[in-house]
Amino acid sequence: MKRNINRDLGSKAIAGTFAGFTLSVALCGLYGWLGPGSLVDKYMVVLWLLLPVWMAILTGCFFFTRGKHSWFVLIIANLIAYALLGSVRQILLP
Amino acid sequence: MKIKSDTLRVFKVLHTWTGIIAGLLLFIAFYAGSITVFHEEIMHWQYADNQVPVKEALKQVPELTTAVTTKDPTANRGITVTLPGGHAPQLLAQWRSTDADIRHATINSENTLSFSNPSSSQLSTFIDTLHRNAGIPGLTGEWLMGIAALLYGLALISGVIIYLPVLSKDLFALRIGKNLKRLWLDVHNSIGIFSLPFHIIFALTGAVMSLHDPMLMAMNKLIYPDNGRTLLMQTIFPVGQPAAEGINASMLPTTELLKNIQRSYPDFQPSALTFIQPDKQDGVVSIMGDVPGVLAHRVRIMASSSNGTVLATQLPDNRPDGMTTLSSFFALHFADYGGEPVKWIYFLLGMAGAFLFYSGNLLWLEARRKRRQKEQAYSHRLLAGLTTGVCIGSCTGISAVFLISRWPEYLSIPALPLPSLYWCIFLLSLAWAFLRPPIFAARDLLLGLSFVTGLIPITSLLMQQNTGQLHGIDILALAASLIFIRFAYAANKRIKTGQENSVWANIELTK
Repeated sequence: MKRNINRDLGSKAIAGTFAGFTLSVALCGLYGWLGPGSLVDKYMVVLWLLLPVWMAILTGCFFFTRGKHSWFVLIIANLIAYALLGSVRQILLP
Repeated sequence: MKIKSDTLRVFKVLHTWTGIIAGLLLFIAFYAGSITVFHEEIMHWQYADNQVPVKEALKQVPELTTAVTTKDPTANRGITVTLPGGHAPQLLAQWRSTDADIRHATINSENTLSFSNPSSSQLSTFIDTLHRNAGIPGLTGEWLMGIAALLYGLALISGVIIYLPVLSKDLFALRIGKNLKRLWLDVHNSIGIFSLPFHIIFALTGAVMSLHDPMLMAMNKLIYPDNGRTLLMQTIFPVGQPAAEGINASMLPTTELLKNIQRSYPDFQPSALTFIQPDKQDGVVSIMGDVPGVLAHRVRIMASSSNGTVLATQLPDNRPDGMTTLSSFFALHFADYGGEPVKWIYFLLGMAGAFLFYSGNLLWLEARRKRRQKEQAYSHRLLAGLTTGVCIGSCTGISAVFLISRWPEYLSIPALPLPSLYWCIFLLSLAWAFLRPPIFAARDLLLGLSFVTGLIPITSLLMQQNTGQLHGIDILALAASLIFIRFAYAANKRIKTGQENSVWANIELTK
């Protein structure tokens, strides 16, 4: 039983570290393009938002009961976020 | 608050391992970081009264930039001149040469130029660098520290989650009694929870400051693939880069330039000037400086280097949110927004932070101790050795560079390379921690630390026989020396009377 928890711990940690990182970049990116203010003004804010968002997602992964669940949710979230980011960029690119 | 016990267990594992992996690096970062809060005082202490006054230094700026750009024309792309006061006793020029290395030049009060890197002999620069990279040179050290800061963030989050269920019961508890582990845990918890805002700031700012390069790379690839570089340049340099092939013109004397700027902005105090194409008519100078009375006190004014016209300002009332954020976080990290009291608070909280990491390792050992047998796991021996060796070794290394840093000036001999001395002491301490049983090593190393630290005020007295006055830093060193000897006494007591079934036991006696 304990082994099982530890193995899932590794899976959750890897999901949160890698898929969590790309997701946090996409979410902060959406703020960077859509948030109030000009693109230049938000550039530094995005830099400072990135790590807290990443750490929050990574922590969130450990609340899932199984490692598989965290991978599933993060991959879906990544796909949606990058699809949104891509289209927002196409529309707003000066 | 109710959290499922399985989830709680996961976060306990997470807290333990992030703490164990990052704890030792963070100890160095916090111990050296607490000291570097007083970097200006350290600089004044090291060079006694030999620093160049800012007024005189400003007159030397054109001479220094001309000398540098003559020697290495690539410096025209951007040369930063830092005024005396922060870390260095004189003007310091830095620029990136063609091979992307950062080059240095200094000019002293007798107008003597030097093109060597002064940072290996400057005590406050050395301590600051140690704080940022644990002594490991290059990007490796900085990125390693950045990763440690991220793990530190995770350790904070998981630590709080573990603590939430017992928060209301344990918040003010300090169970002093027979159960030493309970006491250590209470101290660890209360320091952690009461200085939590401070720690959140440091986890965030520390990580961003060490990892901004790879982060910006990821941002420019994934968020702004078409316009990332432009946005970055506009953020860093809002007035546009002057061309390398313009009309030649001599630059305005720096004293004139600042007089011109301070006419419009009388509160502005410059700290560093970056010149771009300083020998051209459309050359630009970006002046970093401070305005008093606000948290985000780091400001910037950009002007023409040939005639002094102000081109752009980033002042508290008219700058982008990103710049205000940046300036606030820098102030919150550097503890330079509220005078002496804030510096002392940061110093004490920083030292408490160092203690937090040290106590975390001790708790790990205590929780896993085999209570019914003398034999303990090898991993415990390893962690006990690493904790004493790295923590006490880095403290001794820092005290040793303090001790030695003033002698070259006093004896008129060439500057000594502080990093080499630090590494010698550090590695010797680490070796000692593994050669001796842990508790003996701890006692010996603490005695050594106390001795080296105690020598600092004694040599200062010898050097200033005529005045007989002690600087604040000497008094602090004296107090630290006494505290360390108290620790050594406690370790000695542990040798005589402590638990036998422990990695800290007096192995020689029980054999």
